[in-house]
Amino acid sequence: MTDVATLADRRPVPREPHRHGSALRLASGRLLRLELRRSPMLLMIPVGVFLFWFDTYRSSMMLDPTWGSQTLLLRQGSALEDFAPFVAGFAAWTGARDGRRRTAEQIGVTALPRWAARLSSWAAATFWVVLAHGFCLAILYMSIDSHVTGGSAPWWPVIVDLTGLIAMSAIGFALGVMLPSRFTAPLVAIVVFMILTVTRTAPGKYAMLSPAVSPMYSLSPAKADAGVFYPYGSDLPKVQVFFWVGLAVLALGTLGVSAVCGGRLARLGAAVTAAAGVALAATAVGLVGTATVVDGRVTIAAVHDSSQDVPISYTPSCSGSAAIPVCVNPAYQDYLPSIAAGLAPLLDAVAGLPGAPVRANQVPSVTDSLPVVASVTGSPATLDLSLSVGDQGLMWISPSGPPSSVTMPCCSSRTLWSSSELIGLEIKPLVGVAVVKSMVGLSDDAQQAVSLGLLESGGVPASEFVSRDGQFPDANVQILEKVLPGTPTYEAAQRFAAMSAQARHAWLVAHLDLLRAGRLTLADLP
Amino acid sequence: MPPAATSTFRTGLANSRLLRLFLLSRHVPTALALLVGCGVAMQLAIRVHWIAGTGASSQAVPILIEGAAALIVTVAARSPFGEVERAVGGRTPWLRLGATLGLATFAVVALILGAEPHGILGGNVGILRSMAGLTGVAGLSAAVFAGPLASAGPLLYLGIAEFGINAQWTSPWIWPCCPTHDRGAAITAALALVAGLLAIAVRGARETSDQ
Amino acid sequence: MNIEMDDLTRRFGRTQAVAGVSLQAGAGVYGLLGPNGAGKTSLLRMLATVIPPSSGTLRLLGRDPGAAAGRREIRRKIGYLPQDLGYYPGFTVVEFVEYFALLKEVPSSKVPAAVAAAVERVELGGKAKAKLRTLSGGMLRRVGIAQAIVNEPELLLFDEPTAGLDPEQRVTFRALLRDLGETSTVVVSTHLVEDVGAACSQVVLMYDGKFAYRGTPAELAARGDEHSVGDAPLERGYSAVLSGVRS
Repeated sequence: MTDVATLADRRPVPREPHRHGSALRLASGRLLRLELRRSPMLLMIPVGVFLFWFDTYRSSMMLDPTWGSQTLLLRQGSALEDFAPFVAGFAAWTGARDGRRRTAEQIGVTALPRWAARLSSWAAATFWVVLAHGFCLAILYMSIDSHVTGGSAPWWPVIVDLTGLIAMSAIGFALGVMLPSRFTAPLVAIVVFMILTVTRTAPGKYAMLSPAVSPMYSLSPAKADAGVFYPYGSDLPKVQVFFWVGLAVLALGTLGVSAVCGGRLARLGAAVTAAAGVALAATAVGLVGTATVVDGRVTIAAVHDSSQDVPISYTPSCSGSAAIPVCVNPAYQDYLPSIAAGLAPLLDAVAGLPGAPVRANQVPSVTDSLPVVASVTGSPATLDLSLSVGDQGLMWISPSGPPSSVTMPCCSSRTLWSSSELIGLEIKPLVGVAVVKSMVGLSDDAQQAVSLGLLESGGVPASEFVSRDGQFPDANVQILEKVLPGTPTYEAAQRFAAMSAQARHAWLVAHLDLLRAGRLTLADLP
Repeated sequence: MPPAATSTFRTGLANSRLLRLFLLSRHVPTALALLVGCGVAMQLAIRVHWIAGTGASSQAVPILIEGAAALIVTVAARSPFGEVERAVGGRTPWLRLGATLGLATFAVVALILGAEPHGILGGNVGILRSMAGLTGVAGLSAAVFAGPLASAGPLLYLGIAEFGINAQWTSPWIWPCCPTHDRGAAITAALALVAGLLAIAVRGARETSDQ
Repeated sequence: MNIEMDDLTRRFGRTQAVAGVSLQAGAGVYGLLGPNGAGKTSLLRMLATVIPPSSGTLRLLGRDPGAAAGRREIRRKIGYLPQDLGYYPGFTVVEFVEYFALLKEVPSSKVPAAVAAAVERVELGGKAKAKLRTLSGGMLRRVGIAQAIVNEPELLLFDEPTAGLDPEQRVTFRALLRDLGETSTVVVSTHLVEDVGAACSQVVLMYDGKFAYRGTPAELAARGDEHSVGDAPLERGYSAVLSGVRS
């Protein structure tokens, strides 16, 4: 039997009905402001900014003063990697707040749907991430703009970076909500760090979805001269954004599916949101599977903008008085004097010979398993020279690391191309090999002897190749490395180099065709 | 049994119960399971060739796994009891020291076993040095900073170490960059471990509600 | 009626925490007494919509808490202070109360005034901007009371609200309860019979998941007239009822 337990003559005071709509929006803004003031993500900002300065900013400023070069590290995902582990870890910490503080029950009996409250908390944390990272990128771009010599600013890397960090924040937050353990936040941070590290060195198309790129392993490594010869490609960034937005939407959707989040309709909406995220991410995976990669340029037909395939027209800057003029894109004209001076001994030694290049042209970098510094093409022969050499602008060429004879860091890209001495030391041997291979050949002893002798006369001693045994990836260089002192080929090369320039020139004019055809032996050489 | 022996037995029993309760309060069983997971992760990383060769990339993944293990060790040092535990007798520092050292030792064993039979660059000595140094850094960070910042310290160190590996630094302060026979790096890592263990033992891991 | 329950039960595994209780309650202050493990907290948590009943019917503020829409509406109008209060150390007093006001969907324009009123009502106006980590246990409890009353709830549920409060603060709190009971249904679960005697118009004594007694404090005190266990009339009445149930 139930008791009716009331107090007589007491009636509740009528209260104003709740008004929703605009009131809810105002309340959401107030809640967001409260979360913004107290978000633990604020603590992450100094750490992320420091690491960005230490890693990405300083290294970027060492590169060539073009937009493509100084945003090279950004486009390789370096800035995102500086922030991502901290963002994910701090977001997980934020998400685990109610579990950690034992406020889940108190919060759970309030009216605001849990999904909305959680999104508020996440949005506040992510706002600080976007603000801090955006600030760092703004500083980087303003610094570059203050001294850049050419190229154009790429904006897709900024979008990819921010989208990636928003996704990391969402994923970390969702994991924190689901697993409010003391171990969750640090392990989430480490796992994100690990994923970026592993995908950086992963080959294959699907690894391209990760913003972390290594020029040594990726199918589409970022090029330092992007935006100079060709517009920046946007196919891959678009698909990357789809992927990361999909993951973010999935994570945020999962925040609303648990039983505490409200009624069936709200949870169904959350589940649909999560499913939409899965669909978007899966679409991105499918799209990247259709990618074709040529010379490091990614084309994804479904999102391709054909205007990116049109080269950027320019009038080259050339060194006027040289026997073989050197011509570069105006964005690199500051380097022209040092390049011309550094290569002059070699180019002067071969100028006028049959088959010698008539000019040296800067070409866009070609990305292959090994970077190509120089090659001779066409008729009349032209020396194609790529100024984008090495990883992160530092002077090593081989994927296995810098030559042991080169003190690390040898030099930044800017230091290298500004110094005729360094160009003579590091670049001239590779240019020389390309030239002699085209003019003379390297197939037999006589060709190798004449090639070495020509190089010697152009200021590239044979000892240069011997001392770097195995360090140069160029297969033609490796042929010359086998010509050791004391061998007949080596001795013949020394004799050829010792001839006077006129005698050497005359002999080559008379015998080059036979030499190229492989009809001469060491005994036929002077 | 003579009374002295009985007393000793009972004291030993009480101490073992205390140790058990202490370890449970620090979620040590979970930590042990996670450390075994780190060992498994090391083995998997070797098998799928995430750790291969001798270049910078071969060091990156092991350092992160070691970092994860170091963080697990020091996260387990956090007390759920707050200041009330500081008002009790003098056993707590020894318990903290023992638990942290024990977990760190377990972590080293788990990682060494996880790297078998192929091994990683730097070998078992490298794992020992890395774990020692990273546990020290994580311990210092946990004693000084509360909340998520406690993990930010070792993560920042790992980020700088990865940069240093790529740039081929040789400073002993960044021991992952140095070869395993480098005495300076070994000393630095050992000093970091001692400092971290002392900080954890004396101060304990800092709590976010601390004033 | 703000509370209508009929044969309400709650099980946790094999344990039956609440074993079929029925009550209808309107405005007023109801004391919920009982020994440890009697089921008080479980009952309170059901009334707070934290956990659903295992069986029986429950209506709060004229709505069914089992339905999502009804539950949301109920949660706008209840205030709940659990026994184990969680808090965010970095928040100030005002921020913490404001946070709950917003979660309870108090109209945004009314939030500042509601928060200020709630903080003043628990006499923490001077500590409004203090971080929670700097407050004593009693002050934290008062912050918890403030967050429970910030939305002017029609149903208030307090679990051990006076834990940590000094005698003067407890007197103030009892006055607050009486004041709140003028227009709302207030259920106070407590071990302190003097709080019940001073503030409550009705007392329910729970034992072993059931209601062992329902009536006024005076009637409970009268039950102990011939019972010698207890230092005060209500304590003697409490002991007398429990003795009767146990025998």
